[in-house]
Amino acid sequence: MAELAPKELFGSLASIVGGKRVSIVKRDREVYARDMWPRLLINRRQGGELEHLPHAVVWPESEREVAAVIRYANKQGIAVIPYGGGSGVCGGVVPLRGGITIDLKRMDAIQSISREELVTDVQAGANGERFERELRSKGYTLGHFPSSIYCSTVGGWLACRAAGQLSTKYGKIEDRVVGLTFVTGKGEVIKTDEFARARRGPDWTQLIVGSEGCLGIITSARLRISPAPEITVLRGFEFDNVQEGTRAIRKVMQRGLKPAVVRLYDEVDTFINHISIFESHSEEALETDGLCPWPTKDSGALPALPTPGGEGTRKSGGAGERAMGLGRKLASRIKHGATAAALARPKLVNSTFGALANTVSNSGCKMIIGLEGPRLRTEVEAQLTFAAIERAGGRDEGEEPGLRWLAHRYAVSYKMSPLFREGGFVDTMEVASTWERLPDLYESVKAAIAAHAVVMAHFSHAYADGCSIYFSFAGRAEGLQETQNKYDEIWRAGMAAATRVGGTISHHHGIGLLKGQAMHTEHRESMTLFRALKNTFDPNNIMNPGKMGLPLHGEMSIL
Amino acid sequence: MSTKPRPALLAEIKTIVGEGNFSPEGRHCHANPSSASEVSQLAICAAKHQATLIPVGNGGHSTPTDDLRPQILLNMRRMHHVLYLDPTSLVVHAQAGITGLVLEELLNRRGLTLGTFAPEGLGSTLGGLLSVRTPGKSSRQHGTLEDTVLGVSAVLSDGRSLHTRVAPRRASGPDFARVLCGSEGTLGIITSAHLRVHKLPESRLLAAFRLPSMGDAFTAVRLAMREEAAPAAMRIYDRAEAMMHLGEACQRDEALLVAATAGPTSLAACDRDLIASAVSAGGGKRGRDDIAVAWWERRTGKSEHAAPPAPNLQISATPRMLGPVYDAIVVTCEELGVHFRAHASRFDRDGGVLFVSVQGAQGAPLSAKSPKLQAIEEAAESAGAYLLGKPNASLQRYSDLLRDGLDPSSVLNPGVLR
Repeated sequence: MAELAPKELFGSLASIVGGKRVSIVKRDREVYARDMWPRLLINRRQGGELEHLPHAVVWPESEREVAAVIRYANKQGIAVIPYGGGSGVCGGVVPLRGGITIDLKRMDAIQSISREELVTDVQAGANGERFERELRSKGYTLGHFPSSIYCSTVGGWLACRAAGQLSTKYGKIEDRVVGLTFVTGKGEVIKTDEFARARRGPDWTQLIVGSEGCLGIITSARLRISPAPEITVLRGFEFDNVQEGTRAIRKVMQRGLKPAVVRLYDEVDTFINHISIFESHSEEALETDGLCPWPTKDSGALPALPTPGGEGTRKSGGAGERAMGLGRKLASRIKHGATAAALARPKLVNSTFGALANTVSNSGCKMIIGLEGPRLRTEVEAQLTFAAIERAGGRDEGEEPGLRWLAHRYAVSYKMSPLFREGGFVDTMEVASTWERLPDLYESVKAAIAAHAVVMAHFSHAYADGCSIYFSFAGRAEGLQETQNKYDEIWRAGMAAATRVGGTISHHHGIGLLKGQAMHTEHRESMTLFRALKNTFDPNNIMNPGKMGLPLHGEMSIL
Repeated sequence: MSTKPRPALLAEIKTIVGEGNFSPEGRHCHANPSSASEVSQLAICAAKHQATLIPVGNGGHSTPTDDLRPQILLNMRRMHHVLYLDPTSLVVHAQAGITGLVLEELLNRRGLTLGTFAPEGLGSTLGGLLSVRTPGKSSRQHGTLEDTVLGVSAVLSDGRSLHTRVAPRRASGPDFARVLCGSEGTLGIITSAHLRVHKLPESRLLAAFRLPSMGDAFTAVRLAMREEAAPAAMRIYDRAEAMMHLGEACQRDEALLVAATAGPTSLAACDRDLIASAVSAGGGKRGRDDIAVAWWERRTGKSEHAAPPAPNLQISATPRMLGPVYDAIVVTCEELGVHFRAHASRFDRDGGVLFVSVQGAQGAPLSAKSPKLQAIEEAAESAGAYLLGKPNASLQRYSDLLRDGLDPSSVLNPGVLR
């Protein structure tokens, strides 16, 4: 990009969207320089500087304005980065070449809801939770509940092929989309929402969904909606081990049953989850911590769902109770002071947690499973599902664990802060494979991460042909550089392990900057297709350059 | 430029596919490769000799009238193997030359199925079924055939092979398999595919219903689906079509709805009851089960009755628009003085397909070029229908750009999607 004169840039953009909806102020540019990628949080926490800032931020209010900004940028060779809620965890919005960041949040209208067709037209900047709340008020649901729902947008979901917690029933966002309105890297507006199945040629919607702003900007979408569920049935089960639990999920899915949610926690995740029930969040820290806000209970930011009473299903006595006590102490130390010591010895902590989890013999692996929908069919399907789970070795723990999960299901997104505050980091790696490869995927990725960080996993987003595994890990090193090195090494090892056994590097978080190199490992020659799409829609490579394994500068050779 | 394949080209094709697996015929040369590697070599050969490479399934192909280059017609029938069946994941990896029917038969022997797709829609090769998107291959229970694709292997115009990642779902970029599915061999030649398969249903229940009108029947289907009924198949016949297909007499405006529900018995029964409730709400009533049995036998090719003539108009519409579109066809046919009959099926979450047979005064089907048929098509489109088999005109320019990027010399199937 040629050197930009800030005033000239401001003037040009102001002529499109008006002066009040453009900023070249440094503080604004800093805000839009990052998302929730933990590597950037590490950098921020440890006093690092932001390497890349956009030259300007604009807040368009219409598709026409978005198109005009992109046409201007294309003419000038300026990079354009779309920005939704900023909740991405892969650095997808980092302006590697500077340029113009387009925040779509002012384009948040629900344009229509068709009760008979069960579709809605919504603009890309609509906040997830508000959108769902609006649909619910009219008796519908999108069925898409990512844990980022309070801070993510419809456009962001589509850009990275997001999944919600109830995706097993409703599908991922790509399963809910009928069509898109999309502004290409040339500033042209196209609509893919013709009745796709009647048309010849590729399904253009599916070629754009998941492109993370590298081809253009999604400005609105037509999405499938469902009638709001009449009933929701939740249940907890317990399995001896991961193998039995995953086998049970597979049997349910391959029988053609569609639970809304299935989550199987491995032994360590079960253990940590169990402990965390008894640990309250440190609200004291919130008052002094503006970097990673954690909404308080009365802030209105968290869902007002019924909180289950009682102390849960903890069993007492014997070695199990002693081990549980030790585990709580260990977890507590991690939370309240000894983080450095614990996270610096991931192999020891992994083996300790693993051994403790095994010792707590009545802990095993917990499963949360739930169904929702119209009363009659849901009741029939729930009976079949729960019976199948029991036949596969699941021990019924009643609805309490399910209700507890429901009450806290969004809280996980706000639990990062204490660990970062202690100088450590926490992140998640969501991979997927067919059932046949799933045991290898689980063992390989776990081992790869465990060499560097404390790791646990749960299995969720199940299909008849496979499942996703969601690894959570926490680590620490001395100083910014070493911490970043360790963080990078975890991802290199984890991605290599996933692709080596035939898994995918991402089930629903997307690629961004984080997994760009791994894109080539996963797709190899298929990247040719991506480069061809890039050249079709964005021949001058102005759209979010340098992401998803695509080049930062210049033109590309397709073949 | 000569339109006939030159000797050098023929010799190279022969070297690639072997004696007996190629045959020159005028400007064409039929080549029957046995592997993706041979397809790859043929692509390189075509580019080198300035020929075109045209995939041929079981059917014909389009020949561009203004393209005089020699043509290599790629018949995939030797690539007809099931490469791997993963019984744990219920995924089959099959070569592009196997027909849907043969694959279904092989799967059935293992207690598996591709899905509840009508056999009449599975006669083509797998490569053909995936390359050409039509709503004929869809069901409420299992979606469209391309929804079952986990990954594809293909050969590009420069001979490079690619394999899209096989995963139940991904968030690593756009769905690259969808670039190739529906592209009709213009962006790459599909050589094999990984498909989701399903266990054969534990039980199947058949039921027939009568409703006061076609509109009521469309409404009942919509209501049942709203209650999340997921039948394996449903079909709505108007009076003339009910008589033609099933020999069943209906009152003047009456419609006949037949449904098959499948899965665990209690769930199949639940789905059938949901449909019955929706029918009842629309003023309909349960019909005789033997009508549904006759329909199912015909659908699965077990009926001894000859298949009725193919419809000359196939149109698709969203759930809400099916009724108005049918009404528009009725009015137009009456105005034009032509006879017609229709049935609707392939219902899924996005709509259904109307199959309409229109006949002139002498009872002969109207030809595709008949002004009356075109008038009916226009009336249907005005009422909200989509005529099947047209490219998305608004995206044609991007389609061409994508094609130019992947196949700059226009080697692959140049006669289609332009």
